[in-house]
Amino acid sequence: MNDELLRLENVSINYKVRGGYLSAVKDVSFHVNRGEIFAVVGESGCGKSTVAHSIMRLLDKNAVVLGSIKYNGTNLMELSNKQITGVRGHDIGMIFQNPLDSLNPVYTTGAQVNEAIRLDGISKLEGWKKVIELYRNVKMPDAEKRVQAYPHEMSGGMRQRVMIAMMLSRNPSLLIADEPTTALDVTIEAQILEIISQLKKEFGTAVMLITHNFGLVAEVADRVAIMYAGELVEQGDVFEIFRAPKHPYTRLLMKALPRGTKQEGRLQTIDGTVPRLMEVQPGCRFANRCPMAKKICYEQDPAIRALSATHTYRCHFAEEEV
Amino acid sequence: MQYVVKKLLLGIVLVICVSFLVFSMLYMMPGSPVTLMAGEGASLERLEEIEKEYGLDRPLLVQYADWLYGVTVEQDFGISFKYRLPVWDLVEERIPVSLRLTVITALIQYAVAVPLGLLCAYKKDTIFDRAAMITSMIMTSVPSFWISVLLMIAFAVERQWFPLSGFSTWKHYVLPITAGVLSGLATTMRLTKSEALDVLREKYILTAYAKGLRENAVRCKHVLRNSLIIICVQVFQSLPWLISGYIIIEKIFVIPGMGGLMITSIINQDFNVVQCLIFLISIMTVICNILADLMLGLLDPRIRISIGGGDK
Repeated sequence: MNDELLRLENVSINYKVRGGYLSAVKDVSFHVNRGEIFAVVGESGCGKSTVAHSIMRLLDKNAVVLGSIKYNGTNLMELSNKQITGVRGHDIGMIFQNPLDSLNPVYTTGAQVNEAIRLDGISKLEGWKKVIELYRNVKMPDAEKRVQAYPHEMSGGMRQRVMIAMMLSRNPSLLIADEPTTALDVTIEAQILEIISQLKKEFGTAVMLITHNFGLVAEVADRVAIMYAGELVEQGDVFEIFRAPKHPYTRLLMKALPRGTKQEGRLQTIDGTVPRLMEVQPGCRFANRCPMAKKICYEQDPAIRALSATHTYRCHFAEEEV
Repeated sequence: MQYVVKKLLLGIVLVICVSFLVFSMLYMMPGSPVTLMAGEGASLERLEEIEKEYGLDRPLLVQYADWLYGVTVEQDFGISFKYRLPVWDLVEERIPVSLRLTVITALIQYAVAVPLGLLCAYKKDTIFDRAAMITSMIMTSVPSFWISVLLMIAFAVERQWFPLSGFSTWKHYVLPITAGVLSGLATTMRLTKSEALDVLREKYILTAYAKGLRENAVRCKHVLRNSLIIICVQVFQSLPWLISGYIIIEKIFVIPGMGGLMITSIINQDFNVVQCLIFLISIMTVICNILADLMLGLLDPRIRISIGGGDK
């Protein structure tokens, strides 16, 4: 496939902790195409951020990454430190969950954006012009003045715009957005999302959107992957997933979404808790909360089943049975 | 500006409080300078005579008011009981000696400790980190007079590379400064290390890496710059401490600084000299603290606003 930009193959990530390894991500494979918005959904701690950070090789030193992460055919895992530095920002940009602390408080925001621009050998003055242009692109009010503002003089939404401007300043082909709107209120969230989808249209930037918000996925994403406890349980086109979710977890998740304005009774919840990932056991990681779990679920790892060229899920039960 | 004035006024109040406390403590101390001045076996009349001559028979508050008046209005710190000289003449020539020692020590100490602390943070949990931290801890735990004596034995007696005591050439300063630097090294190193580790955990460091900055650029422009905020404040706040820390080292190396004078004066109950020295050190403390605050404002834009009185 030619329009494939990023491909993760059997990626497992373990954290070395006292007393062994913590399996944060297990055997995850997916790809992101050029110019699409690919969403990764899952609850807190399911490993979605870990996957995102592993692509940029920004994980802590105690993380061990297995498998391959290929960007445009090059395995990012095999690059030297110097080479991966060249990929960061230039090929892949990344924005983080909390814009409040992802900017350095002692420099003006413009200077921090300019710092990124100047990595491509652009003069300081040219850089400033570009910063103002970028601020306009992300719809920063009063762009000329805001470049001189310090992070603490800006609201969360503005800071996230700065982050987007910074990460797009070097025209990467892929932008990883790690819960970009979690820390923001709903109106700002809508604006940020609009900027992201507009950038996709204008510059053809592919976006890997990490979120726990299904509403957001429905709104902007082209394809979606659902993660649970470090495993990728289902992925496919947004329409496929929303129309016919296959994995029990996805289905329960969908049921847990508030719909419409009036609720009948209580909102559905998923019983039980996420398993501790310390002890590596065989079997499906969702088994202890799954309403249809059978003996086999606790004993064997489920294989990945393909429903169509795009839609796959990881469960012991065939489509009819589910 | 308003902030500085406010701080200065507060500082003046503080200095007066400190001087009063010291004054009363000296007053309450057992023994009297008079007996020391008169010499052993002096008659009671002679003692009273001297007491009257120096005004020591007056009540504490009157004495204090008189002293404060002399200091503030006439810039007169009184007369040393021991040397029978104006206090200021005694102190004046010792200030540059002490300042030179402490400033050079501070410069060397920070020039060594900050890079070492940063290296320890970057190479956390490696052999280098552990060795450096343990060595510096040992250096600090050992009292400075012991280090001084060791240095003297090693480099002034056994090898004779440096003179044993005195202060006439630069060579005289090498050993006392080394002793001073060694005793303060660990504090600064630990501070730098923990501060750098804190900064390394910040999200904006991740941002800096994510936009494609090289390791060294991140370390200099972001980690060092942000750790420096606390370190600079520490520099200014530690200056007065350094001076008091030098009291013993000055005594050992027979350097005529403020510290040496302070000890002899306390032993001789030379009230006016002790008063004057503590007065100077407290003024210096106040000034250094204000400078530290201003420095903080200069380095951290978030604090600039609160110091400037809130321009936003």
